[in-house]
Amino acid sequence: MNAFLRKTAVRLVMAALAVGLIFGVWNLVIFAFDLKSYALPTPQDSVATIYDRWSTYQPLLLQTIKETVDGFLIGAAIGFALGVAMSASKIVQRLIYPALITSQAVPVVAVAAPLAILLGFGLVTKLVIVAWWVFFPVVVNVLDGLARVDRDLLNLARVMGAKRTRTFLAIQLPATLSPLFSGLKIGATYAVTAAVIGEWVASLQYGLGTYLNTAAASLDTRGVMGATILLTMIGITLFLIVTAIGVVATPWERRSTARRGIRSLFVNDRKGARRWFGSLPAD
Amino acid sequence: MNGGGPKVLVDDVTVRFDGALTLDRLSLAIGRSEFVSIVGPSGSGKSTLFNVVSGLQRPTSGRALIDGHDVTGETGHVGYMLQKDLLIPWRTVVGNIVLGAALTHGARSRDREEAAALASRYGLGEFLDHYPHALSGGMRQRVALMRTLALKTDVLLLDEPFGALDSQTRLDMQLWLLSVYEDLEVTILFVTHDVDEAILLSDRVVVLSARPGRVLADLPIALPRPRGLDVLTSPAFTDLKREVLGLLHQTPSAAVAR
Amino acid sequence: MVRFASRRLTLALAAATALTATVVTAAWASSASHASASRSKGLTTVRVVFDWPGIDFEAVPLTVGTARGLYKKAGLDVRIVIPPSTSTTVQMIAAGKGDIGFDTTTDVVFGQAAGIDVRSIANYSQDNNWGLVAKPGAKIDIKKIKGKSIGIFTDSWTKAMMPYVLKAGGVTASQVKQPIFSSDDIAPLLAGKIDLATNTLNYAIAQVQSATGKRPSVLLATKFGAPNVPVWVYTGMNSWLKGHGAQARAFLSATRKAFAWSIAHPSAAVKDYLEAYPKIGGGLKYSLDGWKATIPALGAQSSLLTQRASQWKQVVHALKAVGVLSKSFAPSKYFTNAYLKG
Repeated sequence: MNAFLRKTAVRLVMAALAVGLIFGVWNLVIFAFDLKSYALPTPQDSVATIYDRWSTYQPLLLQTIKETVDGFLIGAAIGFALGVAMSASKIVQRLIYPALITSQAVPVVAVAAPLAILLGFGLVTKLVIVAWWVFFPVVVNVLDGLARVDRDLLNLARVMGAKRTRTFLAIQLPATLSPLFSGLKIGATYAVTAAVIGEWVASLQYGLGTYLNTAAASLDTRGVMGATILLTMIGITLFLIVTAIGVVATPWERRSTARRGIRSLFVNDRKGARRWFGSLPAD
Repeated sequence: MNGGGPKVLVDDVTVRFDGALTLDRLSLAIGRSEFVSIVGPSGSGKSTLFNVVSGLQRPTSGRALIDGHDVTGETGHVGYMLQKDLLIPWRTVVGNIVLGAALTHGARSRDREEAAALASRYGLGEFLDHYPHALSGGMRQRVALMRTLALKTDVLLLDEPFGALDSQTRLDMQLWLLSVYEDLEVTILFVTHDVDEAILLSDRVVVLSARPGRVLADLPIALPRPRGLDVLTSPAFTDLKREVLGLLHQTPSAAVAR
Repeated sequence: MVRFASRRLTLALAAATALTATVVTAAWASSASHASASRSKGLTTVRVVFDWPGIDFEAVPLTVGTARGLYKKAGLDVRIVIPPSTSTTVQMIAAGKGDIGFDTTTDVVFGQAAGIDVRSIANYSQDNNWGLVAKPGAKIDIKKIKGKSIGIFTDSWTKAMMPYVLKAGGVTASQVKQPIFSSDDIAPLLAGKIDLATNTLNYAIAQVQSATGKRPSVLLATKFGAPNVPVWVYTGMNSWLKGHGAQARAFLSATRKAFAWSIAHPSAAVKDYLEAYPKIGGGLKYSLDGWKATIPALGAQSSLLTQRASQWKQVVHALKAVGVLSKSFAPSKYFTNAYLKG
């Protein structure tokens, strides 16, 4: 437990240093370019603004969090389902894949306005936009993970007389876990930006994205930066949560042995090199 | 149980794929609890033979029979092991051993207990809840073999299982396989490139020709069991080795000894 | 272990140094390239920063001034600068990226509150032409807005005006729906997704006529109690005005002539505008409809561009009433008519 505490302390210190570095460069830029506060407020001012106007920010923050998280979950589910479906059928894959790629090439900002007319100005439009950006990395990664399952292993399962569903549940589904979380981490970082774009198009319920615009229109750059910091924090937090869940869900990536209990969550003693299916014996 | 018939019968099997003939009217009979090695040049269809016997592949013509029953194209009757251990990374040693049960009727606690006993018996008792990546190559192949044994089939097909291991480990594994074989009453078909290995382990060595695969020779190995390291340096062993090598490489001194 | 730590430290130090060097160099380079008014062909360049990230018919007088040689005669070469977003005009002239700004009166008030010493030197429009818009043929009854959805924009003018809407309708903010749009609330209006839209009416009329060929129903906010203060003004930083007073005067004098001409010859004026911006100007019908709809708000010919202290008092009062103004000053801080003389 001591080792874990020490490691956590080091990680926290490094994170604090990173934030300090960002704040330092921020201040340096302001100083070097002689930027007035209406162009770019200092980080100290921006953080103070959050504190001062917390009662204004709080409902906006909750709204944006709701859009981000719900949209992320929907996008993840859709991405996963599509990945599995496309892996199961080459025909489906050939049909859908080009459409999926096109959907990502289309600038969401262009599609967002007609989308709002179609689906309204409420939560649904935001969820669609967030899910739109989140689902693709998930699809690609899930598809990849399933494709990398060793054919020989699937043959072995057949030789053992396995039923198709059991093969899927025992061998293919768990094979998606590691790449799934890679895809989810990417999606998590996009999700906030997508939520903001959704709010920009039309908002019946106001969030931090709407606030960005209204504050900018009043030359309230402090308010803008405060909202920006909060949005960044949503993105980072979501990323960290997804990473943490991924770590818990894939113990074999970190541990030599499987153990029960909460303490086992904090062990990282993997010695062997990480390889996909270890098809050839290590060493 | 089928009285006098062979345990495994490969009956006149031809496999033609994409116009190329892989196996040509190959017939082979293996008796109960026999350990038969199959050697031959690369591409002689050894793996295809295994695919047919295991039911993964339907031959173009011919049948595969186990205990007299036609199992052509049917899986689930044999245990199968490859050079790759194919251990599943997120399952522990026990979890991998019970894979057969997990994939058919679901692994029950009795299956797990038996798996633990099996692993302990053969030296992996300390590693029951280890993940595969934490084990050495030799240990992983041992787990793979135990996974095969746990299926409780009478017939095992082992396709170069020790091919990727270093020679020291390979020797350990061969001796270990011998002891496992002597413990249980399994019938084993064993494919290998290693002539020493074939002679050390088997009751018979079957030599296949180059593609299309045909039985060139079927050599009985009259070395007494139980066998140990000393067998490898005995004169009888060397004689047999000369014969097999001659058959494999078609030198004039390969007088066919049938 | 020690070597490893010191290697990390060295890397971190090197990275920090490289970063600092880059920042300082860039800052120096940018300050060295700060363009002040340059001379070309013996004319003084005056950069006018537009209020929207895209050019539209409100720029007609400026393009007419260039096309008809009015600016040239005054010794000026007027260039229109398009800002990157909807709220950066003031910041751009404050940063020296433009000389004169074309923005809203509320921008000036907020600018001063934020410590930007910007001053309005002329009115663009004289009247408040902001109001409610409904589909062609629909009736707008200000007393019956309870429960309706009214599309609003993010800007502070809208924010200042909406309380008058609510008051006239006898409702509180929670009794109507106010979806916020970033760029367009006419399309949702025509699609029936909102009951009413808000906008300055010249744009609303031009957009609806473009889309449907019919005139929308409109209701001027001044009709239900909103102050009749102008929406748009021409601005300049006090620091620039001090050193370029002559150019400011010349600019406004020529612009006034351009206004007069454009009001008298709307079709020809729009033609000049479209010749200057053939691809991005917005099309003939839209621009002509828009300019014609703008003319009523420009006021009487005799008082073109002239500002009143009362208008500034009213703007400040309206903004304070909605609680968005942190600092306010006397009207003289916000405007001057000094550059309109001569």
